[in-house]
Amino acid sequence: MISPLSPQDRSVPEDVRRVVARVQREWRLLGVPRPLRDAVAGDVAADLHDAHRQGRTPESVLGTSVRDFAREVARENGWLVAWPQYGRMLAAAAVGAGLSVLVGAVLLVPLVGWSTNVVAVVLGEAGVTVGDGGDPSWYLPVVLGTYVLFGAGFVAAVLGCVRWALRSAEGLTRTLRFGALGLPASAALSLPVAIWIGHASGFSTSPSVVLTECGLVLGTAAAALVAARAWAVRTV
Amino acid sequence: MTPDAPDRRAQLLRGSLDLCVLAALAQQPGHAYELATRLAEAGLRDVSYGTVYPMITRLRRSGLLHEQTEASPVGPERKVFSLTAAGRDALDDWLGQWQQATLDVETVLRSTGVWAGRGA
Repeated sequence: MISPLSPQDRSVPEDVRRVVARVQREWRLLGVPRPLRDAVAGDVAADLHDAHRQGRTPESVLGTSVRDFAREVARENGWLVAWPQYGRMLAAAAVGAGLSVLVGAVLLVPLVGWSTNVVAVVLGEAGVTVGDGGDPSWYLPVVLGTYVLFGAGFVAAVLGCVRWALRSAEGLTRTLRFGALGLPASAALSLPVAIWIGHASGFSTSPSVVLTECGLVLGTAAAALVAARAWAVRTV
Repeated sequence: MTPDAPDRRAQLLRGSLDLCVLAALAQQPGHAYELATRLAEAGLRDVSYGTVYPMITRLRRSGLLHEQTEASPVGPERKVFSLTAAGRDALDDWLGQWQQATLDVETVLRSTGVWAGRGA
């Protein structure tokens, strides 16, 4: 049996492969599963290959932009639906989380020191003595405020990366809206447990404890994102 | 010719291209590129493969076309499209609608007098 033409087949001319790859990319951004898009891409590649043998370029054969062609074929195949794309979304979210942790690590420690110094100066002007022997109650809000700021940056970075990765996907706005609610809610659930684990372990820095704490927080955040996407897909 | 002539022609064709696709495949089954070429040679020069392929997809999903994979003597296997029984019924139905619609429009145009001198 002769197998269908693969767009990656080296016998396929370069210009045909390039156009079919762009068509495939559009479908991938829409979230169309690989087996579906591969089958149609093979058919399109075979047609464009035929046209190439007759001396025609893929662009002249399509008679429209590659993007419009890809979207029209997707529409007629019933592919313009909200595909879940959990893997793509979580990969993008991981990038956003990684970036925010890196930036946070660079900024957070200096920010806490800087902001506590600023607060100490302001309170000192007001006649409140801070530092050793002074009133320590002001310190907690500053630290908590800094962590809330970091949390907001984390959510923004994660959702920003998800927005970019799913930019062509149906139901994106709902996903981001539900995610903006779900991520803080997941933190409200997981952070107290993580802090309790830290407290119970004497704030151990052993890898198993740290991994458990991080896994708990990030796993709950991932579950919240998946739930947000699932709900968005269901309600599109 | 007015500047919007191509758009106007595209609009007129949009509602009848599916009829042409069914008619061409009733005459002879074929794959998408071959069909686009036949339509162009028959007179629809501005109808491209990029328009025909999504149209074939729609007709296939509507159950009017049957898709069969066939080996090709010069390359990989190809999807060849032909009419289903529902496709043949649709062709008869749509052809009747087309004839009636063009007759109605022509009747109106003749009654207004603009048809005179057009050689029809």
